[in-house]
Amino acid sequence: MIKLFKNPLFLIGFVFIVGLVTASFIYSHIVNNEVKQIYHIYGEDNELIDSAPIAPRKEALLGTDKLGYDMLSKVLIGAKFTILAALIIAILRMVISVPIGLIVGTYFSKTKKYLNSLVDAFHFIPLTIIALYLLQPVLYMRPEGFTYSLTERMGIEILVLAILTVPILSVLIGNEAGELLKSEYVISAKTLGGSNLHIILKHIIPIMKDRFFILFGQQFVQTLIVMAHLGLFNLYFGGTLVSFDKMGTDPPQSMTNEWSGLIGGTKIFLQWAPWIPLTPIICFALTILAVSFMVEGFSRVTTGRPVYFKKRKKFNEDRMNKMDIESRSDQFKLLNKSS
Amino acid sequence: MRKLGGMVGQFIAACIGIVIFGAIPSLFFTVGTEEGPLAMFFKTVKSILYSLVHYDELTIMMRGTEYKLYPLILEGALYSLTLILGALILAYITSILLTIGTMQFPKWLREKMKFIILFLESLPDILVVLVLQLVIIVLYKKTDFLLMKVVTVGDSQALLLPIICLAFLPTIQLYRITVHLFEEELFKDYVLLGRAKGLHHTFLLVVHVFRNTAISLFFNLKKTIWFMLSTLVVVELLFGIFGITYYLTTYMAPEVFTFILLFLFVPIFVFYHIVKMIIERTIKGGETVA
Repeated sequence: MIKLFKNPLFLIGFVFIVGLVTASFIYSHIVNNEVKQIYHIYGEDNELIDSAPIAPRKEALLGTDKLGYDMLSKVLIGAKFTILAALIIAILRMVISVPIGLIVGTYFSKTKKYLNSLVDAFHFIPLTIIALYLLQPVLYMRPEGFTYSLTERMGIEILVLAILTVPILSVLIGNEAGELLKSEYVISAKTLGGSNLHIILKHIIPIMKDRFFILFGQQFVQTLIVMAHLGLFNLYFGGTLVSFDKMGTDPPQSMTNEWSGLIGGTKIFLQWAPWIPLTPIICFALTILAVSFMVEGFSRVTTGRPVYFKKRKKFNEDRMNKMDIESRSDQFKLLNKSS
Repeated sequence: MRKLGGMVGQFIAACIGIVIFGAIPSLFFTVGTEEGPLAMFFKTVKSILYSLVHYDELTIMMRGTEYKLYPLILEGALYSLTLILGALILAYITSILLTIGTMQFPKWLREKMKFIILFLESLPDILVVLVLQLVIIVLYKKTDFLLMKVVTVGDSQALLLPIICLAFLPTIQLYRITVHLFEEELFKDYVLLGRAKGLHHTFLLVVHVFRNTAISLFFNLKKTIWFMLSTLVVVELLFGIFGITYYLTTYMAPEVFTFILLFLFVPIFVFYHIVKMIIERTIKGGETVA
């Protein structure tokens, strides 16, 4: 554990995410969830310098949006919702998929093949579309109002996004467990009379523990991306407020200032006020980067090599041999060069 | 022959899965109707199946006018599939060329480059699309020179920039994998033999190493397609393309949605399996380790 925090990559990612969430909680508490609003900025002689949307400057570090709301304070308030929601979704995915995957991998190794090919087919349908189709009726406000309450909407969204990748993730875990089942020590354990449950608990979980963390990180990233996509289609976490006023031209609003809500409907500003759409998207990017740093750092500490690459025996042996030679070369000196 | 049977079975199972999936939202919507959720669900399944058989009766409302869905969707589907195919080819070719270029560098430099790849790989696709669009716009404003079309308006279709946007992230992923595969391959004995014979490093890479890694590279095709489809949704929205995902995200009636989803699923499924069959046939007898 301590070794993990000594890894610079892991530490950077961890500090960034924990710091952001803490800062978000503290900031929202101080300003009482109200976003700073600046309409006009005046110079020394009271002349008008800039009016909303204000480009990034000293008074508003990330600029303001069309209504003069400060982007930085919006992003800070929204951070906690987005990051915590994604975290919960990723944890739920793992909690559901790991038992299913392990059970499928060990108990149903015969039927696994058919299951594989069935889930395989769903690689040809974009995940965002699935999420969009299932969540649209729940999250988008209708003229008569929402069907569900705010907490129900959040709950349904978390559940739907969690279940979204369960089939693919379970099959993945099941296949990896199936590979482990073929190894010699598991076969010996079976011969000695170990039950399937014993094998899962004593032989598979200890080996796959590290792998689970990496999968968890990847699911976290994937959740953030899907949330950003949903934001682009005006589906915000916790529901989209739509104004049905005949005169109203208000764009769809998010209820919580969370990041996907900040993306939605802002793409038209790209040309003349690029900071409005780019701020939440860069926040997403930084969070994703922090998570990938954590995953990479974790992988380097536990396995000694970057993620994505499965262990190849030959490759490692070659490395070991090389290291041996290198360490030995310190132990002697070439006489001619020593002068 | 048995393989073909399995494939057809998989195809039918997936189609059934899509129809069932199309009816799921009706489970949420029982408020206001007297029927229970299950009865509502089966009713929707039935109506989806009916409209799939009578697909030429499906209509959509577009700016107040009613259009027949069937011939209309063909154009959008063709455009989207062109984008995907173009991006796939671009991604594979670029990543292989980049890898061959990278392998000329010494090891310490490659390690540094891998770190940059990690950084680039974590960029979300929305950011990539927006930044690329912004760069073209700023360039146009500064120099009055439009490098590529940024949005699709009317008949003038943007083609090149969407393909680059689609291919950007998959290229980086493939590149990372290819570099790793190449490095692993270089440890093998036949490379040593080739070196001993005095063959040039680049020649070895292009002819022998590439040939042996091509199979492993192909096994990433499914993942690449999956990732690309996800990006396609964003690209079509941000470029204003009336492609297949535009119809998918705009017309959410279960019957229409299921029909369009099948329209997207079938060509890509068929394409993937044809490529797979060709590859498996050409390397028959060789190693096929996934």
